[in-house]
This record gives sequence, C-alpha cells and structure tokens, in this order.
Amino acid sequence: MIELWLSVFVLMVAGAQSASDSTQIYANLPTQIEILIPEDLKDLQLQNCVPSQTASAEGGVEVKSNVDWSLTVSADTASGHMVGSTGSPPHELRSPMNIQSQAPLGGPVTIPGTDSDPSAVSLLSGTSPGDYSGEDIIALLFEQPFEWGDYGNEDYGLVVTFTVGPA
Amino acid sequence: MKLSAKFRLYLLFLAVVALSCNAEAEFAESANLLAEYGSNVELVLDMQNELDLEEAAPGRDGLAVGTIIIRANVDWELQAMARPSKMQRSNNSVKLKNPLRILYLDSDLPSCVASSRGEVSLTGSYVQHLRGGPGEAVIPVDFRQQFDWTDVPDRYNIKVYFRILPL
Repeated sequence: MIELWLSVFVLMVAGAQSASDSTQIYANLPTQIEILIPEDLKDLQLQNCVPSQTASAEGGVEVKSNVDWSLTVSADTASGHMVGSTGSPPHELRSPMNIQSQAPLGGPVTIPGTDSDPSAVSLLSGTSPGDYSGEDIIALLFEQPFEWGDYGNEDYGLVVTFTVGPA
Repeated sequence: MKLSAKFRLYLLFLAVVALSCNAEAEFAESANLLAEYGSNVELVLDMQNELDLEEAAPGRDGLAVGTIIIRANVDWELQAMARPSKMQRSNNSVKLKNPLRILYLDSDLPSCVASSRGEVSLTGSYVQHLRGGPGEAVIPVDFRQQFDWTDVPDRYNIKVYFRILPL
C-alpha cells in the first residue's frame, strides 16, 4: 500500500512538467491610400463673379494614407481655364484658376490644363500619414479672377481632378 | 493540423503582398467648378463736368478734350446725343449753325459705326457711335465745334449725353 501511494506521487510530478512550442506571426501592412470628395463638394459654384474681381469657392478633399503622400491637381480643358457654355469656338476665361489648401497648407498653385507641361501640379507633397477626413478634411479654396475681357452672360465650367499617391 | 495553420498563414501572407502591390497605384477624384458670369458694362467720362471749348473763333473749330472709358464683358454699343441738338446761347434759344462733333481718337478703337473717320456729329437723339467687344477701352475724344461767321458772339452751351448698351 505504501509503495503504491509513492508511485502515484511520482506520476503527479511528471504531469506538472511544461511543454512549449511557438508560431511566428508575420504581418505585412500594405500601403493604403484613399481619396474621396464628399458628394456635397463635388459641384462647386463660384461666388462673386464680376469683372475685375476674383470669384472663389470653398471645397474639400478627404485623404487617408498610411505612408507619406502627395496630392496633385489638374484640369480637364486644354489650357486649364474655365470654358463657357456658348460661343463658337467656346469662350474661355483669360485667367487660369488657382487653388490652395488650408490645412495642411499647400499652394496657391495655378491649375494646369491637359496641354500644359506638366499637366498636373503638386498641391501637397510629403504629407504625413493620417486620416484627413471628416472634421479633418483638407479644406480647399478655388480662386478665379474675372476680367472685363471675359465674355459675360455665360456659364463657365471646369473639372478639377485630384490625384493622390505615395510621396 | 500544424501544416494546415502554416498553409493558412502562407495564404494570408500572399494576400497581404498582393494588396500591398495594388496600393502603389495612384487614386483620383474630381470636382466640378461652375461659374455664372453675368453681363456687366461700365461707362466713365474721364473729363470735367463742364468743358470750355478753346480757340473758338469764326471759321475755326473750338476744341475740348476728354476721355471715355468703357468696360464691358459683352459686346456693346456706345450712343450719344445732345440737348439741345446744337449749342445754344445762354440767354435765348438761338443756336449755332453747325452741330457739335465728337472725334474718337484711339487708333485701336472699337469699330466706329457712325463714321469711317471716327468723327460723329451730335444730334438731338441717341445715335450709335461706337461698337466694341469685351474688355476695357480707353478712348480719347475731341469735342469740336465749328463756328460760322454768322454765329452771334455770345456764350453758348450744350449738354452731351452718352450711354452704353449691351448687345
């Protein structure tokens, strides 16, 4: 009886020994960049369109990036200038449009056209990773000078494209 | 079981690498900028309200000078008239024999519709004098009055009205 009890004790000691192994976990976080213009900022109406003054509109663009990033702007017309709805050939404003960003600060730069070299200019470059959306949206200010030589009684338009990429 | 876990990790690693490659691309968004640019015209008479004709003498032209500034962003027409239709003595209704003339001097003048020489005789009703397009036109003018030997020596006056109409 006594030997049997001792035997049981030895077995319990053997059961308390630990065993281990490991698994290496790897994670490769990909570069992720997103850009979005909120719907309510996709169609912007310039205010104060009168000769010898500069009309402006406030817009915004949201960027999310986990790497340093850059933002370029370009326009859809050959010269980058706003084009009128009438006239043959269509009337074009004499002055180009300028844009600047408020936070992060960038520009002002003149928005180039498709015939410009380069056809896109940098508004922001080497900007730190982060979530620039919602309350932290990148506020933009578009400015368009109007001259007396610009034909009146017209609706002018321009599509401005923002492109974001790794810095 | 161990082999299966490793295989899953391997697949996850491949997926992460694939995402990372895709994220290197640039992303773009566009905003439409619109401007309603109305018609505007401005007329400035850059001269004194009261002009004295100099060198008034029989058989000669009395002369006064001034400048008309027209700013417009549409095609326009300048009209002018005089009241009374000819210069009139201050104390009665006797008029000079000849009408007051306006000579538009700018060689870059918008088309003068009233006279190929740029000289127009004023009448008692509005008459087209000039036409032009968008821009700023600074037009030096001479007011010329030919005095006849039959004109009675006295002080004469006349009021000249200008108006600009968008076309």
